[in-house]
Amino acid sequence: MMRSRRAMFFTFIAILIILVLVTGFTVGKRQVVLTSQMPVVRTRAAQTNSYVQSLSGSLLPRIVQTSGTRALMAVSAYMNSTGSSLSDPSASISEVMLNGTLGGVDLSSLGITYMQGNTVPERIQEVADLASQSQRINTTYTTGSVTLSQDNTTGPWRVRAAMNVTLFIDARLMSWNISAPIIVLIPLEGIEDPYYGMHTNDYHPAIRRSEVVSGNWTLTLFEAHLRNVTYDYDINAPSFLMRLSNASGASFCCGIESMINPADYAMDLPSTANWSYVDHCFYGHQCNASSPGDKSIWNLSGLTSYSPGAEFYGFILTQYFIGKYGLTDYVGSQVVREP
Amino acid sequence: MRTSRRGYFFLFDAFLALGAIAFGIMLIASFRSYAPSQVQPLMLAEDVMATLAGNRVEDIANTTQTGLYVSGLVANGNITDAHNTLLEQAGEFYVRGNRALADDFTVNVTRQVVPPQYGLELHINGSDQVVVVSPGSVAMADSTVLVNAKRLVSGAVNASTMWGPLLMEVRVWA
Repeated sequence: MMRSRRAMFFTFIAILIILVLVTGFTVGKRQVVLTSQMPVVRTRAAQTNSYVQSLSGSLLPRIVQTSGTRALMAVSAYMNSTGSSLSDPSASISEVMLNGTLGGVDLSSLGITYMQGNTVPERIQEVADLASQSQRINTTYTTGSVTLSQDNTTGPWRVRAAMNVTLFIDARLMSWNISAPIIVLIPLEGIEDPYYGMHTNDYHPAIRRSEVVSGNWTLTLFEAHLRNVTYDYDINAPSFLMRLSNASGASFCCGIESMINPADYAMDLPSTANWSYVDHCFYGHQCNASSPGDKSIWNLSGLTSYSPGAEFYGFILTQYFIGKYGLTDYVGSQVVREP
Repeated sequence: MRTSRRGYFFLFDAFLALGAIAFGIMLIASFRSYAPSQVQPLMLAEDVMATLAGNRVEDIANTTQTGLYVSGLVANGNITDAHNTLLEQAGEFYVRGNRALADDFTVNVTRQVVPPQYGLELHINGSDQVVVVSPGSVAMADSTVLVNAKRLVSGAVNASTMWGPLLMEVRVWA
């Protein structure tokens, strides 16, 4: 009986020693996360990181580009309908992209609906709502103003839009606070030229680039250029952004010009116009005979006609454009018109 | 003296018994049914999503079978913007209402990177369209591991009309 009790006593002592050892090694030690438990946090981090990447690398640039394109279309429509120009095109387009207004006036109230549901904040909010709904990631943001520019990098056929977006992404387990500079290039082809709209009664051709490259013009190609109202680069012409402010000066990097097609102006063409039938000369009242240098204007044989209703009725050009478009073999008589 | 030795014996016996019990428990625990690692399917889902979102149509060399397939879509006019990522292109087919092509395109550009033992699906716009890339060795309903990777995509038509954002989700199971 005595031996049995001793055995129980020693067993109890052994268990006590093991408990002391286990407790001693466990209590006060830092917890180590098991590899099998890591995917939960890892998945959350990976998905949020992927969201942040796609937001700053793809979604925001897409939003700025499409909103910017629509803002240019909206501004062009506004200028066509009102006949007014923009004193600061970059600031005006920024206002349109961010608020859908121009000078504080809601464009949709003027029947211009390009920006409905397409302003930058509206589009970002759509993304934020979907992220919140599908991934439980909260996105808060602030947008800076948009700056538009053209230079040698953009060339004449694109406009650069730059804006800064500050994002706070909250995924509960982790958060991101980032400032994302968004810079995109907006193609201009397909956008109606507001310069025409301001000077005509509802005539506003879309900007389309001429297919002639390296200045290899022929009379046939020039006629097509004239008929289709396509555009060509020229260092003496105004850029697209300058056209928004009705400027007719020269843009070395980005000047574009088109020919005035008399057939499109049957009603309001001033047949006694004293300027080259090149848009910025015609509407800017430049390039005329009274300007310095050889600005004499000429009829073109085989092209210019003075029969009312004829296709190229009254079409004239100065020496500079005759040379540029390879029409020197077709120079007709000099024109002296009273403006 | 004799009593003291017996004490050592019992103590040693108790340790031995506890060791035998602990070993038995460990042995039983190790005989439980096999559970596949969650890390590998998760990495596969993320990698497939990164591949679709990081590579553009124009990046795919037309010397491979997939490249020739994609080049064919560009040539016949089904793909109008080769600058789209593969994920955006699948989204664009879906938005244009060409669901069969969205399905075919996704399977063609993804199938080769999925090991056959894993099941993989691409869910477009939530689960409005489900593209089964690989059925895997077990059905999704019978799988022990199911993980996903999500991404939002958008695109544009003629640079002025934005579509999306759409939720794209890759699901992998084993």
